[in-house]
Amino acid sequence: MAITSIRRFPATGKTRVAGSNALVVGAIAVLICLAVWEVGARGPLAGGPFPTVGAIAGGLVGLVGEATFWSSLGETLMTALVGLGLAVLSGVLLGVVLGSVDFVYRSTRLIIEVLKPIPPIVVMPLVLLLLGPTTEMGVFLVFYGCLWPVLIQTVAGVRDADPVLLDTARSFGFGRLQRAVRIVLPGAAAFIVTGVRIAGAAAFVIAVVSELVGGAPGIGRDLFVAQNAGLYAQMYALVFVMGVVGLAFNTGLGAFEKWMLHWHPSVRREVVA
Amino acid sequence: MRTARRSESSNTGTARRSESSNTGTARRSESSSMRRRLRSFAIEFWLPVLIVVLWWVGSARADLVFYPPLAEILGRFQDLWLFDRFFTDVIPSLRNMLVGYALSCLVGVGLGVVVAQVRIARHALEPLVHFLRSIPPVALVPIAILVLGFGPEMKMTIIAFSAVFATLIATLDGVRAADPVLAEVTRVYRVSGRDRLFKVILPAAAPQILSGLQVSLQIAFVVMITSEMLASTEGIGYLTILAQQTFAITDMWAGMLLLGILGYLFNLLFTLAERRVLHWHIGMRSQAKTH
Repeated sequence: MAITSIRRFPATGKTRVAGSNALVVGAIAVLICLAVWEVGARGPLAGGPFPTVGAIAGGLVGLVGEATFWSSLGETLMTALVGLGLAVLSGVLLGVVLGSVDFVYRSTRLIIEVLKPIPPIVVMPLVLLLLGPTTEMGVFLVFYGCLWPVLIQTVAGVRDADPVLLDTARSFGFGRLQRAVRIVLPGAAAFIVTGVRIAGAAAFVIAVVSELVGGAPGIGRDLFVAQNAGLYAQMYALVFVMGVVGLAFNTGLGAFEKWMLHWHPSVRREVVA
Repeated sequence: MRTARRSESSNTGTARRSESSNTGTARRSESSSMRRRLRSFAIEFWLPVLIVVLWWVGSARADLVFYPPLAEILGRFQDLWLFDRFFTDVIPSLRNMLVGYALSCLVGVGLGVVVAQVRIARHALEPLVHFLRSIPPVALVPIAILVLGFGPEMKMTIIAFSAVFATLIATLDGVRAADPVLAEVTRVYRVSGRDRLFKVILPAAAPQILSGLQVSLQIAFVVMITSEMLASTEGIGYLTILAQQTFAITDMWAGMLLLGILGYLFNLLFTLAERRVLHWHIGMRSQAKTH
């Protein structure tokens, strides 16, 4: 037993082989799923709500050829990124204030605790009433949803600042602002970037929600329209596009986190290992 | 994660402090700790109380169409959710959500534990799972409507399907990241399969599984609301969006209030349960933090 288990500690060369094996196995599994789908869509489920793989691919090609698709996609990405950007700006500013002034932190703690777990779709009816089915509505919802993770992480990072460093800076005559910029913010950077990654993963999802349910312009609304018009192939193609964009968004955020924190011990250790 | 750790350590800190002040015999320290507790209570609560009071007074005085008096909202809240609509809408919503979520927990953890042990299954499943997880969960609701119609089965299914991936991935990663030496040792000692699962694998992966379960819970909640807003004739989400579309502003506020309370409660209950399950782990974590 114990001897066989030694094989489970692979040499570096072996993991590379295992890595390419994993890719092959994954690709085969994807192909099998597509084949099952195709057989189902042609055979027992024909005429139902499952278009064939070919039809979905056709829908995808059709979409890619349309200018309106690209403007919709751009609209969605803009909504997500602008909302995220606003949330990061205000979350970090607010977080530094909340984190450095104990009285403010403790006064607002309960409010944040209560609002944090409430998803943006809950406040959407009100925002929809005030702003209508517009891009601004989507941006606001993204902002609202992304604010909490950034704010909470920033507060945690600021409160985690090394007191010895702060005292040293004070004794060297650093002012409040200088201390905030030179010591507190770099110290909190790891926390903040984690908050941005969490918020970023939510941004695209919230943008789609605001379009699909709230009717803001973007690929979410296109999906709703395609569903109501009975354009099933196009509908599946849109969902596929959303998956690809979501994957790209998350991968990009992961890379952003690594790039931002390349100097940070947690990332550097990962590289060494 | 980092914030969680922080709040936990500060919680234990306050607990210890109140303990020591309780055992203190000097009367003076007792009264001063009393005063201190009152003071911290006042600091924590003055702003929330002020906001509610301002909202109450302001909305009662100002005659704004979109911001009805808070007293009226609470009245509608009571009439709608506690009486008229309790059995016809609140219960179905909660049932769909809980059934869907329970399914996603079972499948996510079960499948995750099994697949994590079998390398080829893991390699086969991972790309698919990661892609499906990247699709915004609500985008699957239109497909679910198409395939399953508008009934409660559709809602339970789509809630379960959307929520399962977070748990599944967390379980896969958690089981895989468990200390490999642990696996070796259980094998050397020939620990039986069931013991290995319940006493070694699951506890080792529990922190990650639970954080996956928490994300799943949030997704389940959002998808519950979405599925009702997009396709329904019943449920809290349906009534809230209907009220918005028909300009029944007070009802809309009452709906938002209920959804907000539910969102908060679900999270609170989960956190309490998590703390119970992981009490051993939280202790270890705060120890590990010191070095």
